[in-house]
Amino acid sequence: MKNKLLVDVLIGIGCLLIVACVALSRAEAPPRTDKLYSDIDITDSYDGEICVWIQGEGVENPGMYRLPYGSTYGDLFLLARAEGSTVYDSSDRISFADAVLIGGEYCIYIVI
Amino acid sequence: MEKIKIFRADDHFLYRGFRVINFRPILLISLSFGLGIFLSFFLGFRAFYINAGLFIALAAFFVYKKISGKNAWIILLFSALLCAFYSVGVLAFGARISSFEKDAYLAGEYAVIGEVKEISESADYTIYELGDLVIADGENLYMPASRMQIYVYGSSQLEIGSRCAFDAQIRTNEAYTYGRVNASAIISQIRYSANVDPDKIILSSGGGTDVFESVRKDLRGTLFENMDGENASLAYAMLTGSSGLIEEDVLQNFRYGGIAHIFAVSGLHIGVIYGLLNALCRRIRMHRVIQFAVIFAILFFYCGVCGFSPSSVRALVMCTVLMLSETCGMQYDRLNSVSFAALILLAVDPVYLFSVGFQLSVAAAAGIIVLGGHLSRSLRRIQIANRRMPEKVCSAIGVAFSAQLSTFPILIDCFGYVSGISFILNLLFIPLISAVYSILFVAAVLACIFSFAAAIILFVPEFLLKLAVMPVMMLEFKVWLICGFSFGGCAILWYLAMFFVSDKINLKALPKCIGTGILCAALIALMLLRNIMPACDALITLHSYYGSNAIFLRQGSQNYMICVGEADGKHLERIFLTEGIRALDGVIILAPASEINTSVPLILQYANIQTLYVSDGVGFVNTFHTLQVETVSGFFTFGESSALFIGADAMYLNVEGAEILICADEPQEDVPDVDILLTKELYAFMDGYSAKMQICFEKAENKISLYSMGDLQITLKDGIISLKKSG
Repeated sequence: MKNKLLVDVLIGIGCLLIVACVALSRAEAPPRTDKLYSDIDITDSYDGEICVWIQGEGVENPGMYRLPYGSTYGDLFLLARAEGSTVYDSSDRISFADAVLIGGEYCIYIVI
Repeated sequence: MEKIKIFRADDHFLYRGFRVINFRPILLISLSFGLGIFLSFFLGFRAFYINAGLFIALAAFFVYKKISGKNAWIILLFSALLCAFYSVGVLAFGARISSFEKDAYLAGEYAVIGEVKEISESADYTIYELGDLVIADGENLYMPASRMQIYVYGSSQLEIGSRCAFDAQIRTNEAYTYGRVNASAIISQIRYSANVDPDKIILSSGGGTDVFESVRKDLRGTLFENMDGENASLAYAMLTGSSGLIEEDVLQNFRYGGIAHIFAVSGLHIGVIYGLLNALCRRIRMHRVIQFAVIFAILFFYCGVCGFSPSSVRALVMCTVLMLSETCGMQYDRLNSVSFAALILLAVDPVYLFSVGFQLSVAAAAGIIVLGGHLSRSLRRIQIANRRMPEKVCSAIGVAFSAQLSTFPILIDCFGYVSGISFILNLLFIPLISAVYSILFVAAVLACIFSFAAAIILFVPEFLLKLAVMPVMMLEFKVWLICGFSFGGCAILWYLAMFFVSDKINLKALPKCIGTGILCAALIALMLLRNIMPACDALITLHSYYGSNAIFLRQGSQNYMICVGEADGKHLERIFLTEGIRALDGVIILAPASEINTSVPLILQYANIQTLYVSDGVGFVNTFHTLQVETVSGFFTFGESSALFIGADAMYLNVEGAEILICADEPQEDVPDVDILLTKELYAFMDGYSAKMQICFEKAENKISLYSMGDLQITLKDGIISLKKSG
């Protein structure tokens, strides 16, 4: 029993040495120690707001407003105390069609 | 006096007989070695810490066994051996990668001198592998140990052993690109690659001989001179594993049918040749030892002609172990045999673990061994009209089904799809193609020897081959694809469940059912978690592969795509299949008009397009009748988002309030500050530019890039941008 165990151990060590020689014999440089796999998992916040300039005769509080993306013209008119407009439907979402690039940001200009 | 234990057959409440699972040392050693390689990839040298933890746990187990009076030395010694193999695996992978990365990173125009070592052909170009390289620019001289692969469109006089010189734009292959180990480059030691004009190659000395290449060349010449071109390319692929000469559409249909593995020389081919040679040797009553030597030499030579591909070497090793067992009168265990073959391949090159060819070959062989026999025996028990199914039919079904199951996760994750008709096709087609292959092999050998009679010798095999592949050539298999999800780490549960269900685990019926049920439930739960996207305001996925860059925007049930530069068909197909996309509500291609014209038909091959949005400054002429083309200036609506073209190469996108800038080139106009900047590569304007996330598609120092990370996904929800790896 002990002899069999010894033979098995020697065979195992022999196989290990052979595999190690085959696997490591082609090494031309010290092994790479850091992992090869790379992963990423980052989060950040964004304000999700749009910049709108509103002015005109029917606007009580003209100026720049920041509203959440998806806000309607009605939301804007309420904030700016504007009378409303035949051009802009209050239920429509504020469109970027009137946007211009100012100071690195697209601002929507509305004149009533 | 030794105690004798007497076991009843159903002594234990969980299992019958003496043990739950047989002790297979070679399987465990292979798994340890493979695990070491795998964890070295994920953890680097920190993988050694796991080794220490395992050894401590096993030492504790040994102490417990010693206290309880049982002999546990053998357990401890074998565990130490497993840990040693695991450690060698960790070291071997690190050594292999550093050997590959040792040679300098080069990019740009260089003068190159090299010797042709290998040649492989496709329908459109020839690929030469050059060694003994000397690379120079005006200031530096490099003599790398690695090789260079050059793509030559057109004919050249280069042969094996030719020494040649040329100038070229060199690209350097990296060990980890696009989220995957660059296994094929590392295994072939191809550190550099370049496209070269054949007219610009200066041949400095003639070719030598490589016996395997000479045989391949002779075989190729014989087949193409005496067979129809299409049949010759199929025959050449079946005989050598080189499918580059088959027309891409034909080859792709074989892939869609799940039977393209007939063009990878593996167990099927080696088994047929072994059977023929064995029968011949027995007929002439050759001595067993001489028979072994002769058959091994011929199979070894054949593997050389096939380029020592992983599948052919795996099959050769298994066949050799079988022959040795028969010659020496030893018991042959197939699972230990495939484990031994895998261990040899991984010892030769640890990076094989990440090679799709190796994974498929070992998985298929192991799956057939683990599950095939059990399935066949189970099918034999089924009675139809009081008659059992024929044994050969049960065996064929068992083999085909077990191979399908074992390769399923690998095929889905690597190619994005699995053929739904593959099981039926393999069941019907493979026995037929095996017979044709055996005739073709003998005929090809005779035709190469007796070249004057080659046309007559190859007539019948060509006819049989044409008949056998006719259904594949005539039918369209693309409609039968299973796609739209991926396994990732869940594949481990899949394989565990397969192993658990097999007869290798000796449990009684009830515990086996419970165990299988638990594994299946866990697998289903994790797969759903992995593949069903959590609810979000918008999902943006970024995909890139060697110049083909695509952005997919999903809001609600709508799908939109933006190509950053010209698209590549194969890359797009894989994305569409993986993501399960068959129709696009809108497409934008940020490229010149000519590239838009070539990209649109490519996209239409894989998905319907409702609307193509084009900037009015690009000068695009609409020649497409199957889709709506909108030429826009100023802001326009892109699904639920607002979009604006900035010049011809950039665009601004506002998705649920998150501002995104996408650049295919250096912008020529002023650009806004945004939350997410997506660029094709590193541009000058990015110095000093601030965005919450800056992502490049191609290689970019100190930036997040898809070149390094692989595909990424961005989710937008409640004012939070989340970026992580896709899949």
